[in-house]
Amino acid sequence: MQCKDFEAVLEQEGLAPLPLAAKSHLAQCSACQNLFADLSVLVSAAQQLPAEMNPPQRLWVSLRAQMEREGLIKQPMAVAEEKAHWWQALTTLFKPRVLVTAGAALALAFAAFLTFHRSPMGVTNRSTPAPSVAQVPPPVQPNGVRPSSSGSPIPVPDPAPQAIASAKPRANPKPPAIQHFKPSPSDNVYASFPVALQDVEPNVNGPSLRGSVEADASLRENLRVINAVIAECRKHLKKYPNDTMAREYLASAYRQKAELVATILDSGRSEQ
Amino acid sequence: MCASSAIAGTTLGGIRRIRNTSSAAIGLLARQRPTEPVAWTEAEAIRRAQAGDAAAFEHLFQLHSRRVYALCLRMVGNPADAEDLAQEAFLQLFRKIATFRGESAFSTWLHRMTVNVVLMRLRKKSLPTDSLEESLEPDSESTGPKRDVGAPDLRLSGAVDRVNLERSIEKLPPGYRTVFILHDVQGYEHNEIADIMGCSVGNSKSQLHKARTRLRELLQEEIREQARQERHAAKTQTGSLD
Amino acid sequence: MILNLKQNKRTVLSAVGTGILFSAAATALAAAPEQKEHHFEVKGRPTVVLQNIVDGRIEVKSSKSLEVVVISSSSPQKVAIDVEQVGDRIDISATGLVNSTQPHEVEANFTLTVPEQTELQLKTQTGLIYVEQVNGDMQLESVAGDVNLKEVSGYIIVKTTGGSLKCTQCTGKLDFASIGGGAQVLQSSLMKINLMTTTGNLLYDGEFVRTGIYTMKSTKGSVEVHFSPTDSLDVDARSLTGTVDNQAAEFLRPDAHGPHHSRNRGNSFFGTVGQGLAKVELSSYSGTIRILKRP
Repeated sequence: MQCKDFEAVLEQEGLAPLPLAAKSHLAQCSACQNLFADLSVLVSAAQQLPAEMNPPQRLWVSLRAQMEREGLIKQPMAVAEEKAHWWQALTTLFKPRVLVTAGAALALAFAAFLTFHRSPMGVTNRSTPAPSVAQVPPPVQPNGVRPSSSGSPIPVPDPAPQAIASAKPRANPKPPAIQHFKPSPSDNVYASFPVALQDVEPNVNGPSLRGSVEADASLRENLRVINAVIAECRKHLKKYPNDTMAREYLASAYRQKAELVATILDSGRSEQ
Repeated sequence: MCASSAIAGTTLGGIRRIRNTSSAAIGLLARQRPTEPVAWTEAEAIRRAQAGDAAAFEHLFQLHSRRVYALCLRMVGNPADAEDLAQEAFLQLFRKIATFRGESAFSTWLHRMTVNVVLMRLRKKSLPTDSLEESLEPDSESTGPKRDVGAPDLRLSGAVDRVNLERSIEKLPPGYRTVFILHDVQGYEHNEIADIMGCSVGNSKSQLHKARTRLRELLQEEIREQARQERHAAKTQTGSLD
Repeated sequence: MILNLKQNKRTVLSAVGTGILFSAAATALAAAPEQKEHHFEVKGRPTVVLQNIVDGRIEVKSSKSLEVVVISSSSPQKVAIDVEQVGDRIDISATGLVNSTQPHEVEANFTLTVPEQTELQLKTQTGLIYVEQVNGDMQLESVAGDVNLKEVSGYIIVKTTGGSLKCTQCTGKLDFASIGGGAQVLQSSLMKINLMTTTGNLLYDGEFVRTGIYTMKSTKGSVEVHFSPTDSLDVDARSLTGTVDNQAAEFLRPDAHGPHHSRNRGNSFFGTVGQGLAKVELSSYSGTIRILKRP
């Protein structure tokens, strides 16, 4: 057997197991030994590489949004199969979740948009604002405030939200339409960011409807923290709009805020 | 104390209700289970997706997205393009899902679409210095394995690490890169790769061998370059100390 | 007559005193937490779902028997507890009957004993969640309470708003997301970790499994990993406005092509130990990233 025949065997049979003739050639030929050893090493190293990798969460959000635009998603089958008698019993329980889920999905979709695109898409009319509400109360110092890593309090930006008429979650809930916006003359995409998303601030200043004083304090504090991070990232991006790492952090902060708002609304902590 | 003996539960507060029921009778709390259909088989999810069920689409996405994304990322080398390609592949899949009849495995069908989407993108971006045919579908005669004449082969044992391996994979021509990733990284067999790539099993084996030998050369160049840089850095440092 | 009056007075006084004592005792008893215990037989790998809408601690340990034991401690006037079994799924919920104005005024504490192979979904407001020696997928949520895991394995998902995580001798996969809480993962052998927090600090001092993926991201807090020279990992560390502190330069050789990978502003470091088989991604917006070698 010649070296080219040995290579032909490798091509057809792979690295293992080698037929006898190939093995006896291998025992005598140092060049083929080197080739075989090197190929074994690199195949072994390749097999150690992860075959799967987690895509970012925004991939599904973006995909789903596109599928909805194309009308690929229709009435979920699961809803049609549920029995009427206990579906009615869940109506009052279910309604606020529609708003909460819609609000959180809206926030996630805009976070994905923020990460993907440099300039916004198009213009449509502004429609029903997202659920919830009022102005942010001035930051309250609860007991046991968790200090920031630097040891000093995290600076709180002046909350200057535009007041939005409150929508009582339990009466005629209507999922908000997705809102688009057009670029401002200065091409600053954040100047005209939808008010419904950037200013969603449930009022958590009231008494807890059920549950925990400590948990309420923690929610308030963390809402303040996440708002501060969002403000900081936006400030940085105004100065360095092409900074992809800052954009990722901003998108991540919006996602966390969406989840926090969903937790607050879901537990009925927000005043109605 | 077994809870099969019922406890009267109409007191204010305390334990209001304790029941042992068969799975046929579903109580209020049980209905509050997460809506994710973890009990679906892939076939059931496909059937529901063909009817437009959003949860079924998501289930299929969760089942396959990691492999698809990994394939895209290894093919194009950067996460932003990989996301675009993965999204495009799934979109094409979901647009055509009504036509899926089960002639091949669903994952094979999906991977075929993914490979097509990726290769189309690479065709559009092909470098001007390489001919289109050579970069995408290397001809068996023109790009067979080369051997340096005169220079001894550099042994790879102990010198291959993840960083230089991934960098070398990125430098492979797309056709070789696809087969190598599908077989040696993702573990597909040649008959599956033949199905995905639309070629014969023999062609898949041949492409894989050529990919491996080309990768060996790229790794040797990579290691030589690294050694050269280290020698240069050492020389510079010695020179600066003098 | 006077003697009768005095005797009557004494009788009345003692009756009134006894009455006061009894009512005080009754009030105290009514407010005292009541402990209830329930046993559920299960066949296979059960799923235990506990939703605690009030304060309270949840402690879970395992046993060799195919039985789920639920011990709850709460004041019946203030907390309603529902427990239901459907097949191998046990649902437990605790809801408040009165509004609370003081911390721990309305609370329910739970101690669960479950089979070693159990899936858990636990949710509480404050109070510790503690799980020991349970194998199975688990989803643990707390608003302000901490989560402490010891010798657990499975796909572990922990979400808190302000609570921290401590995970010791765990295996499997771990996802942690918090705003104010930090995470410490010690002596663990996890294939995949994804730790994300806004202001908390993150520490990983465990094994790096070959082909494992370790992602740690803190917006404002610090991110720290400890490794041994015998580990095989590929490190990608980036901080936008903070610093990347490689305290093991003699073991963690920098990637010669590192600067080529950097597409962003900020400080970054790319390096490899051994063959770089495990992938480690460390990221912070403004915190410090530290890479240390174990002594």
